[in-house]
Amino acid sequence: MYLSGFHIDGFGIYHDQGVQDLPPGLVLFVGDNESGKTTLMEFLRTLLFGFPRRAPTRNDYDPWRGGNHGGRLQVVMHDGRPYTIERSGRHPATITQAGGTRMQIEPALHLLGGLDRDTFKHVFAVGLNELQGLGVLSQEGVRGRLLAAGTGLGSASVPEVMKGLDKELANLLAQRGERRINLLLKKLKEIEARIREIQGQAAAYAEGQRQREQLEARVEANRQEAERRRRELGRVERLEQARVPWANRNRAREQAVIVEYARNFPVNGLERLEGLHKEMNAHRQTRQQREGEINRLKEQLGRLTPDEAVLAGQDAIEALAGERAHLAAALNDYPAAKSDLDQAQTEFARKLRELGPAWDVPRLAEVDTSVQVRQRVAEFARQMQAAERRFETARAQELALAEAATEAQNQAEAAAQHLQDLPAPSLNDNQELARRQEAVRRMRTWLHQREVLAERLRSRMSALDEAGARAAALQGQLTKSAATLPGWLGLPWVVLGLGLGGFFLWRRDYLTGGLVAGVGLALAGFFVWVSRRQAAGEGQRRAAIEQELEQVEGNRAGLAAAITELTGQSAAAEAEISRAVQVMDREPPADVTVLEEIAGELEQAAAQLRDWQAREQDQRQAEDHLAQAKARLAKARAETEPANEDFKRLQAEWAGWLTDRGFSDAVRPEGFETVLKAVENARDAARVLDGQSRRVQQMSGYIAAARGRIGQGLTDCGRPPLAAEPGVGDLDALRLALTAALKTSQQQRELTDKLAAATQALDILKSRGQELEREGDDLLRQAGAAEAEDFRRRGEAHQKWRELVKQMETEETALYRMAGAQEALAALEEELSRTDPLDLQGEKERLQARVRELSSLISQDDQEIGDLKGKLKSMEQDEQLSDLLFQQRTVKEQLAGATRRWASLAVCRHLLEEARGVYERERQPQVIREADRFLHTMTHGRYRLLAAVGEDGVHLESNRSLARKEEVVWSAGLADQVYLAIRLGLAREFGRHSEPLPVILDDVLVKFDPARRKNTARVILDFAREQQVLLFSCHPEFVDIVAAVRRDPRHQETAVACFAIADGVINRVSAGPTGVLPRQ
Amino acid sequence: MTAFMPFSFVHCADLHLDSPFEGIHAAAPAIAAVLREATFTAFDRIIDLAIIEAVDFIIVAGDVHDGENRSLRAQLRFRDALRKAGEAGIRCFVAHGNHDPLSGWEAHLLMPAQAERFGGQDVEGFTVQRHGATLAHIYGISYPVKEVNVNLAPGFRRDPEAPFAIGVLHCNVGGDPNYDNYAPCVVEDLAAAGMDYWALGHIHARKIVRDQEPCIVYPGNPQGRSRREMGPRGCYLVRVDSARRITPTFVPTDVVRWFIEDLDIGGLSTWDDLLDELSRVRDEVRAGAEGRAAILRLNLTGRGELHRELARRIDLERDLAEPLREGEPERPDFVWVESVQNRTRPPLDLSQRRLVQDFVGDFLNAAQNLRAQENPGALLREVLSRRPEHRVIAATLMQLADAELLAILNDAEILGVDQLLPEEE
Repeated sequence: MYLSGFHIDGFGIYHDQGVQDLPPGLVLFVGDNESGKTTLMEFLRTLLFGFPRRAPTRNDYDPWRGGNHGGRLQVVMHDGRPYTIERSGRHPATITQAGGTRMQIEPALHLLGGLDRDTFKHVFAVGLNELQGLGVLSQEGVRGRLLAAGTGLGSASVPEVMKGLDKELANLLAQRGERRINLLLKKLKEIEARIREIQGQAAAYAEGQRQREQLEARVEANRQEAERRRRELGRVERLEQARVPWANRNRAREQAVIVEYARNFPVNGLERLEGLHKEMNAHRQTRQQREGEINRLKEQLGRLTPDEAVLAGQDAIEALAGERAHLAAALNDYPAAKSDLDQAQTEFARKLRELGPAWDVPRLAEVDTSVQVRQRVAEFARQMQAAERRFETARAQELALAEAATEAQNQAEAAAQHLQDLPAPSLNDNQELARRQEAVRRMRTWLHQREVLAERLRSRMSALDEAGARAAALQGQLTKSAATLPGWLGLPWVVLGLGLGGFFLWRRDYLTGGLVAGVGLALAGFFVWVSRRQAAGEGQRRAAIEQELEQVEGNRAGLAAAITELTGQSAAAEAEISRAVQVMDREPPADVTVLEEIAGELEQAAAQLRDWQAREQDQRQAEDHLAQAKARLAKARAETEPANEDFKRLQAEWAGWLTDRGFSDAVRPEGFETVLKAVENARDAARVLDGQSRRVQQMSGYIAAARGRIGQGLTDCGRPPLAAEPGVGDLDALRLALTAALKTSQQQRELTDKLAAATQALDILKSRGQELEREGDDLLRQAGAAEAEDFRRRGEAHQKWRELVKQMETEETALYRMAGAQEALAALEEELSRTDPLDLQGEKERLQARVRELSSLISQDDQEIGDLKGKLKSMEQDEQLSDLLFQQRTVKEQLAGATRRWASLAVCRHLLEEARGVYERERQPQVIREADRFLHTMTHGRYRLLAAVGEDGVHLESNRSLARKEEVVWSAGLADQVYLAIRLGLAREFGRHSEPLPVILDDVLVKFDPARRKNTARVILDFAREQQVLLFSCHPEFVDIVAAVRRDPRHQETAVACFAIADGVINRVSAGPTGVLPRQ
Repeated sequence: MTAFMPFSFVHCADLHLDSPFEGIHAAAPAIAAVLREATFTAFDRIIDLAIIEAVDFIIVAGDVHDGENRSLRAQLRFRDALRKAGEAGIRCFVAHGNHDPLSGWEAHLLMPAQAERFGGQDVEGFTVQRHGATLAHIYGISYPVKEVNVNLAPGFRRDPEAPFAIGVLHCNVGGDPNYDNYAPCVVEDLAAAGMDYWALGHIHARKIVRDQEPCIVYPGNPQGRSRREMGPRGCYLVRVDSARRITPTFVPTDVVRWFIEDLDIGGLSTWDDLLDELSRVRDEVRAGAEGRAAILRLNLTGRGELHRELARRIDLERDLAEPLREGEPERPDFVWVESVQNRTRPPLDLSQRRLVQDFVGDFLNAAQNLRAQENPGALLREVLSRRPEHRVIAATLMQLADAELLAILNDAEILGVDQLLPEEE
């Protein structure tokens, strides 16, 4: 797309300003500061994208010189279609096509390939501010184009990946610091140092073992001595202990001699005598008690007399008592059984009544309620229900189909009426219609092509005219020659100088003479030099004019050839248009507007045809539908009648079956089961009545028999009955009388047995009393006592003698225990007889002190041995070294793992660097390659532009030193050149993928040095050959630079126009021979 | 000529008592206690075997301890075990190897009366008798220092009167590259010494180098301590019959057995599938451990949908190993997952992806170019040495074998692809 013209109605400083016929190449706008260049650029941005959203600092460029706020642009798309874009204030833009069709649509969507304002601002309409920095590369709309190709990375970012690797590498290892591997190495060293330390345990363990052995030997020696001392102490203590029993025994021996006379007293004589006396007293008391008891028993026996008649009837009474519960229950249940019998009779009569008046027991027995009968009735029910359902279904379907047929009839009539109401289409042939529409489409293309060619032809003719004018001007300049100073003007100065010099020499004023002569000669030389320089300048001027003239002539020839070619293309377009007209069968359209009207008519005819064909189709479908509905109705009617007859036949068959079995024909099969249930219920009631009758008869018979037996029992015992008929009360009275008679008989037998036993015991007591008296006499005789008191004195003396003997034995036993053997006992007694107790006490104290001392030593040593054993045990069980070895192994493994990870990361990073090198050498994005080409020209091949893979930024690489130069060290001018090159690269890349748009540059070359400015002019002209450039500048000399560069044949194809802007007024500047503004 | 008296003995080696297990950093206390006791328990089982089988003697062919830094605890446990054998009337003959040379730290413990230790200067000989009759002559030598690089086999000479001769030596027969080449010798050296049986140590994988004339046996170590020592571990019960026929029978003594299992993620699409498969593998290992405890390393291999998740979002220790360890410490037949290693590859064909002309293709080609060099190991060392912090771990890196460096290159390649193609399916 290029901007072919614009008109500003009102925008900031501008009012009613515009230009037309802008070329698709380079358009220069030159003006001083604040002359309106930036406002013009904003106008162009605003027309394309509208006013930006309101912001406090925003300048809307209100039209302070009048006019509506806005204006219009004329643009020509790359395929030649012209459009006019209009915008007024904040209203939506209006786009007008070449045929006059107007659309209210944003140009960004319709003409700019969806470009957003921000990207346009930073890529296509760039001021010095927007030019700065590489932020544009990060923009969403730009980044994809810049990086999409060549990386294959998707969402991954190489810088991020490398950053991640670097971070992990740094976390793992550093030259200094406490990173993971560093820490592991440090920890490993610490562990190894501790292992070395622990090895000293060996000496300590060996020393501990030696000390323990020494202590154990000393303890053993002390134990042995202590044992000896304890033995000595034991001897002394034994002597001390033996002295008391030894003295006691001697004393007892002396006293025993005195009571020796009572030695032969009967064993336990005193106790035996006392026992005999006690037993004789007790015997007397017992004999008296026995005699009293015999007399009492005889009295009780005389008072007892049992009922013999009752005892004789014992078996009969016990038999009746066994039936007492049964009889009582029978008497109790009999009234209830009678009542049940009455109820059963009533229930049976009610069941018969439910069946009907004619029903009795015989008829009840005749009714067949078997499963076969029930199945037959169920079959009747099923068949009749099915037949009834079939009939009702058929009837319902017939009614529904009748309604559907009526509906179909209505629809068919409506469709026919609708088609009749529709006007006939103007064109009936689809193919013919398509052929004409295709012809219109071709015609539209060729009409556009014709207009474009005409525009180009006009442009080329204009350029040819300009070139002719320029050639004439140059010819004129050639014919004129500039006035130059003649070379002979130096001669008078020589003569004058020499004359005056000679005069002063003659006057002997040598200094003045020399000076005058010198000045004269110098002036002469000056005139000669000026004359020669002017001649040389004229030659150069003529040569430049001739060179330009030659270029202009070349351009004219090229333009003439282009015009010829365009004329041929126009003729071809006309021929195509004629062919399309023939197909359309219409008058040739005057312009695109007429063509669009024809297209509209064809569209209308096509719509009519489609509508007519759709109605026809509807009618056909409605008629088909009606025929189908009628056929279905006839079929349904044919099915209804047989179903009805079938149902009636089954009803008749069922009535006959009922009549045959004596049932009413009013019963339906579904109700017949109820009748059978009633019959079964009546049969059940008859069975219950029969059972109750039998039960009442049985109970009545049993009660009568029992009462007879009870009456007989009362008669045998001589007792009258309690009531008229004997009952349970009489039976209970008989049983009580029997119990009392049996009890009296038992008591009589027991008293007789006790009396016999008491009489026998009394006889035994008498015999024992005589034995006791004989034993007392024998005892006195054995002791030699005359009577009982003497016997007691002798008994006490004997007791004394026995105690003394026992004491002697006890003391001797104690002495024997102390001595241990008979010989030792003799020695002990001998030692006791010759030792002094006081000497023994002193020896004992000495020995005790030594033993205590030795025990203390042993205890201390044992304690020390225990401690040592504990220490050695602790050392034996010390797992510290094991732990350290384990830790050492663990740390080594962790170190190996971390080292391997570090190495993998480092190698991965190296591989990424390698790949990045390849990428930078061989796979630069197209944008960067384009930009690099532009920068190469701008910097005269000094730098190479590189995009790092996956990064938004770029680098510069010196082509001489291959050193990289980051953005921060770029000079201001170099930076602007890089930024401009990237913009141009981006604009070119955008153009490849969508509509190529004009690039607007506002004073972006201010920081460029002259050489690079000239190189940049080459770049811009080169760029403008394919994409329009609108260049705003406050430096008129740039016009010269462009003119100079344009002399190069390579840039002469680029059309250039130049405008001067001053105080909001735009004037086209007539082109010079180079087509651009001459320097003011 | 008197009849030859049959006898039997136990041959073990490389006890490495009290040496830590490799790779068990985070074992539960109950597991750690079992592992710490494992080498001791394995040796106790050897002594119990000798007592039950009523053998005549036990031979320990070097490396009783794991390092010169042998712990007092280990020495005492070893002495107590020998004492137990001695109390049962079984003599023990002990040689020291490169891991426990005579120069190492020792607590100067008296060896039990029935135990003999070979010196380090010359080959020493002992006779074993039963009821006054000589059963065998046993010759052996210990390592005086850690590194013995001379062939010790020529120092062994059989007494002509010996009814049966046994040589005890810690050595590398045939120069096994997986082990330090200490006391290097060849089978012919051993055969020339005239022994009937060579009780060797040093190689941890059991192997009968030669079955007769002489019979040369490596029993391996009685307890595997790392993933490189998988499978059953134990000792040989050697019976010599009246015809001098030698029958060595391997008897496993390991308390904990090592397993490495690979699991291909190719057919797995969800996280639950993966956990189910891992549980299945764990239970199969339990069944294969024959009632023992087991240590399991799980290698995830193959290409599949789960690779990306495993590489970027999953903490293998937290999300896979720990769930598999739940409930194991309470079991006597525990299967402790030492680690889950991710050796999976992206679900794309790297060789094909390498052909694509883009940055990722360039990256893969850079790796391939390195691989294709004449000496990629040297180049990789040079790449690593370019980093300034390299000097801190230069010694460690220099020890990396070429194969390890190539594995690092593979890891780096996968790492890079995972980073560059995070959403690649």
